[in-house]
Amino acid sequence: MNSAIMTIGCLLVMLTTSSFSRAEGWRGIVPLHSTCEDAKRLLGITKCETGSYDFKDERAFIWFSEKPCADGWNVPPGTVTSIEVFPKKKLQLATLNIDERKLKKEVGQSAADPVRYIDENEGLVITVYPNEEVKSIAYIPAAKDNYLRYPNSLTDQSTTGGDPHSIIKFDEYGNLALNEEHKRLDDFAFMLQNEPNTQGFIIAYAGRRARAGEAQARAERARNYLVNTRNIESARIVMVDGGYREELTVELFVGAKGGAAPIPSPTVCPSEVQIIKGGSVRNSNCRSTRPRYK
Amino acid sequence: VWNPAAAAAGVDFFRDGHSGYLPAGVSYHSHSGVPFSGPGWSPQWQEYVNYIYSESWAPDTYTYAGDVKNLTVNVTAHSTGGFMPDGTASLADAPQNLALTPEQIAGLRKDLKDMLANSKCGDFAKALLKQLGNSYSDNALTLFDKVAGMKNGFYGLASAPPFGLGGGTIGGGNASIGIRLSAGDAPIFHNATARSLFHELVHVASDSARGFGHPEMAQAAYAVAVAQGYKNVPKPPEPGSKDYDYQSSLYFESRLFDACKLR
Repeated sequence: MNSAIMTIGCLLVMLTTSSFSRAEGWRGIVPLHSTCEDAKRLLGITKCETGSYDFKDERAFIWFSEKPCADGWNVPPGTVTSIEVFPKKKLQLATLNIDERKLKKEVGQSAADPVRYIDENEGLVITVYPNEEVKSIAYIPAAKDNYLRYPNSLTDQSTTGGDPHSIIKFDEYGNLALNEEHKRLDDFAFMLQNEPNTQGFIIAYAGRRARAGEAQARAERARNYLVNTRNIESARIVMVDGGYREELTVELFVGAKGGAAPIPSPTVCPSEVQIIKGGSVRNSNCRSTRPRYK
Repeated sequence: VWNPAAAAAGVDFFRDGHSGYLPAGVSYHSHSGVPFSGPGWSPQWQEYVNYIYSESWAPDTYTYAGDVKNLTVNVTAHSTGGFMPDGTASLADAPQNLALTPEQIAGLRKDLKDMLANSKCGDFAKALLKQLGNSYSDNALTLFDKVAGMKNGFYGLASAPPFGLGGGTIGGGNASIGIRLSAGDAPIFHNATARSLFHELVHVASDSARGFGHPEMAQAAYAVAVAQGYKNVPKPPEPGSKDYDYQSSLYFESRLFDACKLR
């Protein structure tokens, strides 16, 4: 199991100090600067795997890097990239002696949602409940470390944000025969017809071995069927080139008309893809992982 | 269909100072100053107004008065920011939240039960609820029954989006879930409803008054997916990600889909 369940008797130093210093990180762990060995030594963990780690007074979710093109940071594997710490005991924002007026504030979709106070320069995110009780403290890369960013990584997807409860993943399929694909799209069309305030999103991913333009062609094939055979207004269908996955994949989402789009989740870096062209196979470094919406 | 009796119950609900979402039968519609339809409309409005009605947020920023078909809410200020402009909304025709019949609630339970009967899905759901740490139960059907027994338990959403809304918690004694019923009779529609339902059940599953948010749900889903041997599981969004909550929700949806998809 990825989650290391541990009990460490250390005092909760960070949460009981009167102020935050990002330079010191959490228990000495600083995102993008602390290695796997640092994490083992300072936290007493035995493996450097992304996951949830349980301590006496808090639970921490720790992200470790695996490869730059996937994680978005030019750092060695095993480097800590972020930590989110959830205190087990009640902790009020006021006790942290932080001037939240100086921090960027993000409110949730409803007033009952937690509020996030963000210090991008220091790399700190404090999430509090409406009653100002601290939900979590996250340590993220500081602004000064932006030079370590890996451009166009898999995490670097466009997002417009939106109401999370106004979009659902409806279906997903792979390299289906045309008649099988049509059956899946018939259900999708029925859903769209019965929910007139929605629009459909088709995210197509090419496989690890792919023909040039394969994802785009699959998305267009699906949209053409929905529009021409199932009479769905073309304006209600949005196609997204999602990049690459292990196998050719099409995801179907239903979301609010004019609302936020789903975010592609490619799993294969463009540099790892073999493009099949004219019977030959070549590596591809030419495509951005940023999605293209049509 | 406008149901005056249900609407009256809704108004009384708020007069009680109860917290939660708008109860079945209650709706609000465009009135001068509040663009509840057309440009600028978004489903989040509904949730926002619900909280204002419910007195669970900024209680000194509104007043309400009126009878069943003409509840007027005057929003004058915000203490916590947000995006709702000052204005007035009134209750009128066509409720947006529907009372569910016992048969419909039983149907929702069946949707959930059928989805969990797929052992891959059932194992994932159980492990996920366990992973979250302080869920009232790791049995989603137990959570369903608990919510169903609460005062404002389940209600129907008259249109989508949203597809589901969860508020309160089981531990807080005020869990409430709005759900859009299946668009069709084919199993895939019931499966989609069951996934939305499970999503909302996780939000309210806590045995304390603190609900589970999307980031926690995403992190738990990752841990469970890896532990259960799913392949090529991407890492959950990091706290510095843009639209962290939205990304986390979509991430959770994808892991749930992988475990509970019909085909």
